[in-house]
Amino acid sequence: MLGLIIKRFLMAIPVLLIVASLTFLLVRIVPGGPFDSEKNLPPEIVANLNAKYHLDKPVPEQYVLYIARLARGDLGVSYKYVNRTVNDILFDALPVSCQLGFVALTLAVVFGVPLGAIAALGRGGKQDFFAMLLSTLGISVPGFVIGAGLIFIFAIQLKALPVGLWESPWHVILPAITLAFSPGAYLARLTRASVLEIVEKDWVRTARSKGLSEWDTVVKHILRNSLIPVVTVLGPLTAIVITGSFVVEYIYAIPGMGRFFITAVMNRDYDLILGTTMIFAVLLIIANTFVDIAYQFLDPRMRMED
Amino acid sequence: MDSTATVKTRTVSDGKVTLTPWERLLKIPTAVAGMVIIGLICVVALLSAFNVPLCAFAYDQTSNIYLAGPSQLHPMGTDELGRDVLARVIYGARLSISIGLTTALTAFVIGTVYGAVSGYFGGKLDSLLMRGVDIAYSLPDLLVMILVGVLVGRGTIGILIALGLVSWMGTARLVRAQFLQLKNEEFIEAAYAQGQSGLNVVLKHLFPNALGPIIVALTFTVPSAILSESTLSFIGLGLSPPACSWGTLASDGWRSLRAHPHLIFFPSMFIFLTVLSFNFLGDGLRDALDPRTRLNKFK
Repeated sequence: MLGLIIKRFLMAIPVLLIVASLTFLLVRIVPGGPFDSEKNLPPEIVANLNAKYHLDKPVPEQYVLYIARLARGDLGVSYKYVNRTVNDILFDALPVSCQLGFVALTLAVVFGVPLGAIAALGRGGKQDFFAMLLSTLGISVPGFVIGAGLIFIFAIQLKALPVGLWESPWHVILPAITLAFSPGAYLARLTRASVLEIVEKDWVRTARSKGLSEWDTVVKHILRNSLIPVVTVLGPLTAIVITGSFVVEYIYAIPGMGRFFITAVMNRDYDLILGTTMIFAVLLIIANTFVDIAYQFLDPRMRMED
Repeated sequence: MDSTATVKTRTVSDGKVTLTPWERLLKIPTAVAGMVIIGLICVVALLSAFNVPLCAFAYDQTSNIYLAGPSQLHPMGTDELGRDVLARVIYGARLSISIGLTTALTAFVIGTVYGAVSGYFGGKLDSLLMRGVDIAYSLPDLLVMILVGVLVGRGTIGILIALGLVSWMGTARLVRAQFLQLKNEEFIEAAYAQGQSGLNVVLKHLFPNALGPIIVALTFTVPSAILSESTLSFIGLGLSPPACSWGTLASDGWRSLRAHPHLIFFPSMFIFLTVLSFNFLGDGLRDALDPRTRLNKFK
């Protein structure tokens, strides 16, 4: 087990290096720099700024400087947020995004998994039809439509909940619900498929025929086994939540990773783009490593040979 | 849409009567509803492309009714320049639908070729190609699209390139799995025994038999492309005026949500309706083409 974790950790280093290099290349070959603002700075000042941030050096040298900085854990400085390093910004933004993502994922699991199980257990009947209708609605509504709708109803019309910013627990409710929709619907569909496969197994029939109550059969035999594939989609789920966070943090003006990423792209704030992308990559690697480890706990047949 | 080979191999006895996949599809109410809605929206989008006047005020730039709510004259109200929102939504359908369909076409071409090469040759090349797909698949679509957008620009072409890049992996996996499974079947062996060339076997035997699941996958590519485009445009990293898609319309409307909710409501509703219809159709096609599902239970 420890071996696997160490191996995964070592494998993450080249992956991160590739991500860092690709992103670096991507932002540097594009025309337009962070100081091309509309304010028309005198050329001397632009030259000074470029010199200060090493932007006047040839690209290969910038690359070496950049990787060396990354190796020390220094993500650089923001060109737009004065006197703030990327580390500072992300140190503040990451916990916000993690809280939001965590609450949303919890909501998604609490509603999505039972919905999928209900659909599968009543296969072909009305409850299946309505549960699947609900989950298809869930994957068909764009995040910004849910967000706009919730804001309009609960914040503007009812004035029941605050909208925007990140101050009290009340501020978490609407963004978390918005963010939970699409992973919830995804989980419901996945759980349904998984349960459908399990209910046809021989040992489920055995459990029923030995007189086990329906509840015990469903909870102990069907659900427990159909949750394996559900746990293992944490990787894709993290990707869905990151994607969702761009929209949700934009709509609700939440100072999280997603919003900083979007503004960084708009401002060509090089180091902030690179830094945010690196953190996203790290989050995805952690999620996928967790999945590999969870596989081994949940299903001994999955143990890797090597 | 159905090649004869697909129909032959996919037809199963459903109860007493043998139904073709098409007949099975027509028995699923949600799929039929989806097809009707998609058909209507496509017809309207096509007509608007030929400047057929679909509503009286479509191109009236001189109206002085600004930001009016829905009325008999303007069923969806007007925007801040006095433009009729219904006309804008119809106009936006053209761009949104063509972006969805173009992306599906791109995914089809790249995904099929990639997956066919991987599945047909197998072995080391296959594991290498599939590892590439695994990595590309695990990245958040929107993140990749935004980064690609930085490189290729934010016009319609840029969006199409970005969408194409993130949407072919599912099809590639699917085609590869189909090919791996089919290439050991007896009828493939028979084709080789007849002396048919490898290319002939791929094009005339493997591909037609893999077509069913490919069509299902492509049906799901269209709505996800429409969603991605509208989301990107909404957060300001996709299309921007004068380009007019449902996403840019919703983005415009978002700024005046408090005072003029109709501006965001109608474009959003059409995104939702279209995406929902394609998802229903995709689910329906999948069930219709899968011999294991028994449709007669779904009443």
